[in-house]
Amino acid sequence: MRRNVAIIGCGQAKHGRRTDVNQAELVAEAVWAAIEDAGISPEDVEAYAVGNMQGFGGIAQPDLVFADYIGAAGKPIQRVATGGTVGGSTAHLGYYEVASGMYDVVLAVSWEKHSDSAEPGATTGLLHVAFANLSYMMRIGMDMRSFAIMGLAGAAAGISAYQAAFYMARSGCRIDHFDMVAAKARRNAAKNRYAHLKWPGCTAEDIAKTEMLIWPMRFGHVCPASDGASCVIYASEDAVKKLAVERPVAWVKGVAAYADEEADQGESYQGTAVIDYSDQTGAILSAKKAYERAGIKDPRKEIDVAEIYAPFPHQELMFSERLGFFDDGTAWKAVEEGITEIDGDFPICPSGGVNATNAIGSSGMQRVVEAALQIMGKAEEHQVPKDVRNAVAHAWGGQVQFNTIMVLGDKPKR
Amino acid sequence: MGLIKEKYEKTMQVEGEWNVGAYRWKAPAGYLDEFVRNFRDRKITGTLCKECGRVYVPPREICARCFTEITEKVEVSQYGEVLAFLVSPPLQKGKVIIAGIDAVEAGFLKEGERVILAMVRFEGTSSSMVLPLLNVEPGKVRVGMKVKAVWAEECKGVLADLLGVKPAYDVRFE
Repeated sequence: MRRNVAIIGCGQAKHGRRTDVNQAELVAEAVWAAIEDAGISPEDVEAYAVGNMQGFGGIAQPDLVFADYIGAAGKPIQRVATGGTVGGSTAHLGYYEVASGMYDVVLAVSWEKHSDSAEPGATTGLLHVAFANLSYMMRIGMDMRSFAIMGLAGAAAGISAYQAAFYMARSGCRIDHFDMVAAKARRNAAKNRYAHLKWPGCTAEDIAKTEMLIWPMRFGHVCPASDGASCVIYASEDAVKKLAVERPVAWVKGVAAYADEEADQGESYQGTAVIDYSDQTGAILSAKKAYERAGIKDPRKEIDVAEIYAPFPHQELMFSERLGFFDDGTAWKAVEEGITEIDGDFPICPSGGVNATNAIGSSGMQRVVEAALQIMGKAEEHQVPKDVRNAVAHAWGGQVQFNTIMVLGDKPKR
Repeated sequence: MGLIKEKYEKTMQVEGEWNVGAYRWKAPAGYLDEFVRNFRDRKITGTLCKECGRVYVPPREICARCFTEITEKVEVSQYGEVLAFLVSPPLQKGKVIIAGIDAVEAGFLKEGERVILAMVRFEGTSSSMVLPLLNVEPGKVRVGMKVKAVWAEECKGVLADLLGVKPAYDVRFE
């Protein structure tokens, strides 16, 4: 029997380049903020779900060294590593542990410290992913020119550039729509004290002036490589009554995670039948199932704010369609009309989103944190100016084929 | 808590390189080897799933949807269409460093050239390949444009034999 579960506390570390802390301290910053926010003591936490990608921060098994920093010593702990969805999957794991009746209070924390790796951002980590394939391709006769061309297209940004091109062809939107979305992310981030790239009053024209990295992707479109950590604390309905008393909480109403077939050339240069990166069947399925579980019939009407995992601006447009907020190929019209602005009719990523702050492991969890804060009314300067009854947190990752969705609400599901 | 951050302003960096040993992977020999061997005869071959009719290029041993082993091999068309593409800025020295090598200085890429990479679906296949799009100005490229394979002058049966694709029909500049 599935139990009702609520998020009773949220915590984030300040995101950005954090050479003032080591990884354990960074994680601890988010954890202790969440414990304080929940108004509980570390003894109340029964189990820990932690999430991080190996290699992205220069340490392969960071969970081995920080248990004592977050009060996890001598307690059940599990680690998740699913690429971009790390934070989303870790949030799901923590939820499952409480929903299943296994534990009453679980802490889920997820992080990345990109500045600890010598290569810029996640390159080292992505090489871990791609190196087997690349070396195999060298063996079957790839030349240095092709190798250089592949490097030119870039790892994650490269895949996303193809995806942006697919999306443009599919929807008829233009690069200036990407500029608008990126500018909105920078503006919203300026209101968020935990965000990385802040640019108050940033306009689409400002973004349009930035260098074209690889068409259709400008420098101003690309997310930063941040350091950061995000944390939520889950409690069962009984524990909420005991621990949270009158404090606002965010109830988890529905979760779902689906994978699609691997896009791009598959493992070891094998073919794949996914011929449109912007199709994202996994996102469509995840949303459908999560809404069904949450009892949501019309997402556009019943959901008040969405935190979408969009490191690149076309993804905010693409996923907002896949998650059922807009019809296929029309999200850019909503952006033109200002519907997705913080004070718009359907705000998307009021926190500034992944486009402004991307500490990979943290990013998925941060969407959950931000959705919960909007419901609790604790999002401070970037709180949307309307009643938030339901919010959606989405994460995306893997070889562009994993998606996780969490629907949060102000009331438990009955 | 007695955190280090209260004692030191910055985290420490240790310079140096460590050889942490080698990785070993299992990669599919056989049908992919055959795929590139056929490049010697300028043939593009894929595998056909008899359950769902999908044709995979590059070939695939097991259909990802049907989970059945694919034994049928098929030759596919040299013609295809562009599904999506991206365009690099004019390349400069010092901008494309891969594994410590400046690709422009080393001569793998030409100074000032603009690389167009396309996702190409060859006719009769259900999959796509990333290939350079040659002999065309970036401004002339369109999604859905017809392209054909371009081969090296002398094909040796290696991946590099397939240089890329070019427009299937002459583009008139008028």
